[in-house]
Amino acid sequence: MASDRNKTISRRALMAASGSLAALAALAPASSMSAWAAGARPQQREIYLELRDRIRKPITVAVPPLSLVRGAEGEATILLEVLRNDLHHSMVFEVVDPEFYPALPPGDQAPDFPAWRRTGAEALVRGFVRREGDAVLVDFRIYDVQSGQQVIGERVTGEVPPAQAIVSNSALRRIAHAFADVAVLYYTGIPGVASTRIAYVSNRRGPKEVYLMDYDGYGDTRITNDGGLALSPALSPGGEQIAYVTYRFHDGVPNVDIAMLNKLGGVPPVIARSAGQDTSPEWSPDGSRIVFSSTMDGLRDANAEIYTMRPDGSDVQRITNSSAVDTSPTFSPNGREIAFISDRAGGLHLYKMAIDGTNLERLRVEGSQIDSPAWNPNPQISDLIAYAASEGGNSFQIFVYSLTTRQSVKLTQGYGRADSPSWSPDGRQIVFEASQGDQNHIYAIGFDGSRLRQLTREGNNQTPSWGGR
Amino acid sequence: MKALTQRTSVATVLLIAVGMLSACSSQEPPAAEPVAAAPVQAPVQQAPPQEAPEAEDWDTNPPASGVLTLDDINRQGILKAIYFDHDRAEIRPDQRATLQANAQFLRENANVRVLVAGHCDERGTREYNMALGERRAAATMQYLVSLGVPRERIEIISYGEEQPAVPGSSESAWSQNRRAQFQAIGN
Repeated sequence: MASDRNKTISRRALMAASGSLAALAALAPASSMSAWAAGARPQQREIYLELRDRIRKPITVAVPPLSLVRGAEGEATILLEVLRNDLHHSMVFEVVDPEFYPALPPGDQAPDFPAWRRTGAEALVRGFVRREGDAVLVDFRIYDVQSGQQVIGERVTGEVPPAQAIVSNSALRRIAHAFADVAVLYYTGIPGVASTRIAYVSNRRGPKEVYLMDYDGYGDTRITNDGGLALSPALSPGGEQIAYVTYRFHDGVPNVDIAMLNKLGGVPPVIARSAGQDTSPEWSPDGSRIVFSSTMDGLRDANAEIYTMRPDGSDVQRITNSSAVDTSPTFSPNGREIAFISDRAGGLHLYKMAIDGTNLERLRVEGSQIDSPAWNPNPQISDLIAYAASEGGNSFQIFVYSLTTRQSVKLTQGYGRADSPSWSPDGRQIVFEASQGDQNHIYAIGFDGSRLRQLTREGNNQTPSWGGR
Repeated sequence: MKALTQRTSVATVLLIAVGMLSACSSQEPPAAEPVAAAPVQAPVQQAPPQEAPEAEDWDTNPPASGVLTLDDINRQGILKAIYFDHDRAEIRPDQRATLQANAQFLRENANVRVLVAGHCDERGTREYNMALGERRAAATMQYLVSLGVPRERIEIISYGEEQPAVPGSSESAWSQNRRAQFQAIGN
């Protein structure tokens, strides 16, 4: 599958567009905001508004059916659905209801911009699909509706033999994903995550193994073959490697180690194999270090401490030093701090500290039995930490804590146990696991609690890790 | 793919009444690749003992009955599991008798090593349960050591909540899953 890009975005177009968009933002229909704010507690609404304004007000975008240049009707329908979903889930756009779309003129004629303006759309996406043998070629454009100016022109191609042009075809879906990421890059300055992937653990085909899937749940593939338990994967920021917890035998005795899967395959070498138990690996945002929990220095009473190491297992450095359990670490976006869980104060609490072990601070977050913190990797949103906590009793939900406002926001409700949150690389979405009855599945949700969707359907699925741009 | 290195360990042949030690060979380095065996099943390791008894020994010292392999010990459940209270890793008073029996067996069969595996019920969060399972295994190990089992014959591991003994979400299932299990392993 090849993704061919002929970028025609110019700096001047970018700046001109953002100026006109800022003016338009004041006119954006109020209805696009009320949907996500509805039902939230008053203080939560304020926090949502504060978060959203700081990142970006969603851009209302119209995405009409793609035009066919040469025979690719099925492909065009699939691409349209994928593109609309990608833009919607990105949290950067609000897709205007297609019910209100005016007709598009045939071929390459200019759209009726006044008519599009009346739908409330700030941006209009057009796509022209054609097939050449096994290749599907799509010319995408985005217009600024107010000015009628084209701001993006992008050709994306993929190898999709006609017989394989079905909704689950990865190469076809990737065409739409690639353009959606370009659109997000244009409007926000950082690429979207539609082309990224999520590692997770599933027992759908027997013992628990590590799987990979696209961010939208398609294309799931098993990638470990340990035959025993594979747990707690961590997909690298670059998407090339997965650190995970494995039960490996040494001298006939199983031990809990950390191994490293490489995209190129081969037997995953163990990188952390202390006499103790090595668990809970997480990557630094620049991919240079892994932070993890280990009982290597506390074998007698299973005292878990936090360590960092290089991805090849060398240069192990210890960070915590307490007789309490210290586990579940996560790096800050600049790699200079970690947040983690400790029971040093009795009960499970969330702490943060500098990577050299100084400046320890307990974070007074909402809920009890705090676990599984995940620090937002986007430097622009670097004060948000997601975590799982109990509101009392046996049920756990996903919360987000702001280091700036020192307040927590509850993102999920109604699950038996929601656990193991992981941020998308752009920090706008969270993937997590949750139980309902005896089923355990992976879900994704926007940072403000909107756009909840289920990603797995089969088996029991846990501990997702979102990485890989 | 490299071929698995053959391990030439000797089966530990056990005579309960006499508690005789058999010879153990040294082991080859571990295989380079992971052995894909589920940890709860004991690997069956049987090979003839290094030193066969002399002919005259057979006449004067008839072999004892009840020869046990590691596999036998595990399949017969000779080393029984112990159970814990919710969110706790302390040894409960009502579990001490089981631990005493397990310790006695281990003292009398000095070439049996044991793997103590700590488990949790499904409540709480996943990461924390990995740590709690290990603390249960460690507490069990310390208790065995206090009863005279040498530390170097005990290995510990945690499976967190990942391998329940009993499926389901009832108080009964949960209480049976909060456990430390014992597995006899080779030298």
